[in-house]
Amino acid sequence: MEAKNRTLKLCLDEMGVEAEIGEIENRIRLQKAVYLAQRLGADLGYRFSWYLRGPYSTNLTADYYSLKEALNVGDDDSNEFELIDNMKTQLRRAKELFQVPQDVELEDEHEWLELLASLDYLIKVSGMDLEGARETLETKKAELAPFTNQAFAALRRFNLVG
Amino acid sequence: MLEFCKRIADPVHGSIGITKVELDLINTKSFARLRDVKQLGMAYYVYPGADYSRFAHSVGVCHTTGLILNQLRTVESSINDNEVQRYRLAGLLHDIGHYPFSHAMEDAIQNYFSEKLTKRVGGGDDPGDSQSESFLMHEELGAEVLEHDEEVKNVLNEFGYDGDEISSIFNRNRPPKYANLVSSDLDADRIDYLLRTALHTGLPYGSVDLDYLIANLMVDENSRICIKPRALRTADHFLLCRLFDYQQVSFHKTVAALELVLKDVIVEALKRDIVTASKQSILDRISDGTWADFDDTELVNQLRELRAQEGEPDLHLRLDALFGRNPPRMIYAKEFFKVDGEENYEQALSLIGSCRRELAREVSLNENRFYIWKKALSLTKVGGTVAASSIGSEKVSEKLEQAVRVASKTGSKPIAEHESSVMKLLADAKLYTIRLYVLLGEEEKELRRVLERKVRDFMGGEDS
Repeated sequence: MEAKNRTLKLCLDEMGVEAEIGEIENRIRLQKAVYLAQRLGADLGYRFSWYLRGPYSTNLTADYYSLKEALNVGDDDSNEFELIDNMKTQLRRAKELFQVPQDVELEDEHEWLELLASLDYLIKVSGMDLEGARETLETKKAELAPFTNQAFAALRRFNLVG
Repeated sequence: MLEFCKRIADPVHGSIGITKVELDLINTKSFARLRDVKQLGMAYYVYPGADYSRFAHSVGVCHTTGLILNQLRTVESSINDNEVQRYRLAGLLHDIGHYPFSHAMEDAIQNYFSEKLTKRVGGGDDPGDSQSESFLMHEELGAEVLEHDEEVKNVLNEFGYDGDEISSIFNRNRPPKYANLVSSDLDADRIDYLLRTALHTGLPYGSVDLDYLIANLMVDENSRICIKPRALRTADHFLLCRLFDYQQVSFHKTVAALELVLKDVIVEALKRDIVTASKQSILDRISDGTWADFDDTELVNQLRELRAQEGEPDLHLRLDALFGRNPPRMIYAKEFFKVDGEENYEQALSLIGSCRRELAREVSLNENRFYIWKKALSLTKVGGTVAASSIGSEKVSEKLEQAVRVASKTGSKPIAEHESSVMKLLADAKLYTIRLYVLLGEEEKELRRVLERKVRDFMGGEDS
């Protein structure tokens, strides 16, 4: 198994994110989880651009299809390896961030991750202030925008936004 | 309209007009560096003319971006000179962060640094400080060059531009005004690549009617760039040409084999600190100006240095494969076009993996002398991962944003949804390719035929 695929698999396992990518919901969860994990310091080197569903990495897409292929053909030596401690610590923090707050009425975890990642990206990468980001979310993601305050609070709790 | 201060003769586009800010950027050392970064990696080992540089391609993308925006201006009065110039600059500078040998080196760097984030189970303490061992992909590296290279930064500032604003365009860091202008199946980067590659390889897959294609671009009511229906065949032709180009150039059996070896030896050079590519080391090179020297020639010299060292025979065999053009030889290939072909593809991959282990054991060669090359290629961004049949559903994917769109009564729709497009037939299909190569020394050459026979027997009598 290629080193980059092995590391990606171990990271997903640590965050409790399935490597299954058959449905778009799974792919969104995976993309946003890796984005947020990188922001928390677990740097896998992926670069994210803004697309319809928020931050998205074409390289990560290629790698998770490659990982899926490797797993499906039994090319998996990941159980012989483990992540270094620093990575494990950052990924456990990411897992905490993924917990959907009780007052956020979204049907699925992937929507919460999409909101968190999109809000963070608009503020930290696109350089918007909270109000600018909220406006963009209201235009681009009307169903998620009502929970912008909760997402901002969560990002602040993890020191991702000021 | 923008005022050009100079014209550059270009074999693809003829005479390219260049503005003063573009000229000053072209004359910076970091941009000049692209003269010695080949666009097509090892392809010139097979196609002698295919050694054109990212320098020429970048100038071509700048020009093509201008052509596209000038056409859009005829239907969108809000596009002004400043906007055209910013997009042209993004086109000019979009590859400024590419490593020597581009994707091969980037892939090697990614694998090398990914490996450092793991350790063997029970392997004791962590091997190092992961924070100082991160790396940059070329897009992010390009943004760093624009922000921290004094010469580039000064030119941009002198003309009232900001590096971040330009890199944000080519990196799509902000929700873009036109969703599919920068990165789509039909963007300036892909157009120039296809035309330039065809010209330099001598292959006929670049005879795309660029003028007609661009003359038929428009913007739909959702600010998406699309083509008028009458240019449908031109777009279909472009996408088909791209398929043939990939098959004949990037996926050529010898080019692919050499790139596999190149990645291997770059990883070895990284492990021995002959090549350094950590994020910090690259940022240091941008700051002290030596980034401008980090080109194909420097990397080749570093690999020569690696060859001069005492090392494992297998590593020397790999280096000789590159320097002596003795690539791994293909001993098996399977290629097929199919809708929903994943199962067949993965079965074949699994089998070839077992075959590799078996062959290595039978002929007593190290398993790492065998290379598996695989690819599942979609013709369009839509299809493969987004079934063309589900395009109309609400479950849109990022890929959909990158599809070629055709104007319709209700706005525009992806080409694969258009009744009379060839892409409608082909979008859900993928081209699956699996190859097995073996790297043999001079005295092992006779093994090739033996291995070909054994692999044929193993794979059930299928011919390669």
